[in-house]
Amino acid sequence: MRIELQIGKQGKDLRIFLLSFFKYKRQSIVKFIVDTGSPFSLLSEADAKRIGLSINRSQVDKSASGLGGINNKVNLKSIDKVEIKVKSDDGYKTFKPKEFWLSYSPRTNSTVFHSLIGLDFLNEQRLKLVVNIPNNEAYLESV
Amino acid sequence: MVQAQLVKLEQMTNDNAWFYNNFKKVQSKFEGQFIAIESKKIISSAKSVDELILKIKKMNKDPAMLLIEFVTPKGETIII
Repeated sequence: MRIELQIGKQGKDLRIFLLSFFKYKRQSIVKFIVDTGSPFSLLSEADAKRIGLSINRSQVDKSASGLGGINNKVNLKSIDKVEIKVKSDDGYKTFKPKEFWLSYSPRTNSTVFHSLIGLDFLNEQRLKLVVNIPNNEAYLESV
Repeated sequence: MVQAQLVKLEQMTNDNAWFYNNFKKVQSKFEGQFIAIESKKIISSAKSVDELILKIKKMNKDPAMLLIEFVTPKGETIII
């Protein structure tokens, strides 16, 4: 099974995206950055707000730092019964990750914007990531 | 339902590609702002996500089903 990813470029910034139907409490569309630098998969605060989820900054299951290699601290709250539906060469594929996190800034004047698919997801779902930037090609494939 | 989701996902894919293909043009007008894209058009913009979500709701649209992007200012790079 192969899932095509999109490569996006903003100036000199390159990103690899997984576009999905995301279900947590309700259906939404969510664009994840595939981030091999992240051990966790995260729904961002911005996407949570877009979906209509409430953010309670006092609810913290764990903290993470080092986003972008600097000491930006974010809070993580575990969310369960998440479903991620994507288009694959077999039709639709629905993933039900065991762990997923809502990420938000401890400060109200700052917003965590990017939702991430991290290494935990790739490992648990037995997916390899293939990237060929010069050929504008990126995909996930089951192993 | 599945067909509707497929259409929505295709639309999101097209809107995402449109955003990156037209980034310089978009950046010249919306740098530092959040924008909502629908059918390859910017339907709203704001300085914050919260403000943009309010604007989208006032348009009787569902923000959960729209592509929202942050337009990085010129010369700025976001490192994840």
